[in-house]
Amino acid sequence: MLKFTQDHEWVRIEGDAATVGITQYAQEQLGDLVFVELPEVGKCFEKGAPAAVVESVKAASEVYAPIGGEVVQVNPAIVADPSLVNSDPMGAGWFYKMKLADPAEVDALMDEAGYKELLG
Amino acid sequence: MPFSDNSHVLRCTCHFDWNRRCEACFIDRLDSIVVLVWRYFHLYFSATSRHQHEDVLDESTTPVEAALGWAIAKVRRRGGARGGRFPGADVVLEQLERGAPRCRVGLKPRSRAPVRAGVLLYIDASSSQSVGVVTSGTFGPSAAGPIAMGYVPRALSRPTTPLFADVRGNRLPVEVTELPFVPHRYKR
Repeated sequence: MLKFTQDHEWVRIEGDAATVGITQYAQEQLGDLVFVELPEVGKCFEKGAPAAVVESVKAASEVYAPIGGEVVQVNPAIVADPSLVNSDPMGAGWFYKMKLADPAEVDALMDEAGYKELLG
Repeated sequence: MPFSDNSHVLRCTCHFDWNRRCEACFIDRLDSIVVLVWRYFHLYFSATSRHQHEDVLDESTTPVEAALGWAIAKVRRRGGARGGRFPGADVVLEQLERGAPRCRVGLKPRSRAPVRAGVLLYIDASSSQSVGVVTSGTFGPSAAGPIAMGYVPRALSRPTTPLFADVRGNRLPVEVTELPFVPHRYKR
């Protein structure tokens, strides 16, 4: 199940596990990424808390936790090569995986159609 | 404040007019290049930084600190035909001879994280007293890594001096480096 947030993140939900990344639109708006800072594995975030940082040539931006939970895995490939997020934001450019604290929070997120509507 | 009363000099249009001499500026046309360079840098850098204290050039910065001493004509230096007699001359000439207390330096972050304007500089990973500030910084494609510029005390301005930049609460190692970051490749 693929969900989206107002902050242009995507969440792929499989049971109580979720993979988080930023959308194609976010990647385009940021421009060439030069640096990614990921959270530590084991760290817990509430929904909306800043979990990661991306820096493009233009500016630094925070990536907020789309739902509450514990980080169980991060993607070291994007730290080594941030341009992966630009080239494949929905695939190889994923940020981290988390274990959901409350799977009911997922219902508040947008589906793909809703997100497309947000982009207009 | 080295330029204690420079409000007129900063706004006056006489520096753009080679046929006029403005008595209020106390500046000859040739010398006005100093002010032009200063103003240009001021406009350029203040457009890229967010707060006044992060400007590469603000009212508290002397040309000597900003490494723009080359723009001060020989005749205006001490012993020159028209030595002194410009706003801030006492301080600027003193600094030209003895060195400025702080200097504009290039900074090369050791990690990949860009170090941006406003970031404070420290001499080690734990001290609470900052020794300088970054005035601009970003990722430099030609340098293939992050680059930054800022002010540090003269004692810490020598290239290869290790410093620490506080980025989002993390002390990241940076190194004072020669400017320009990418050496010139043209012949003079």
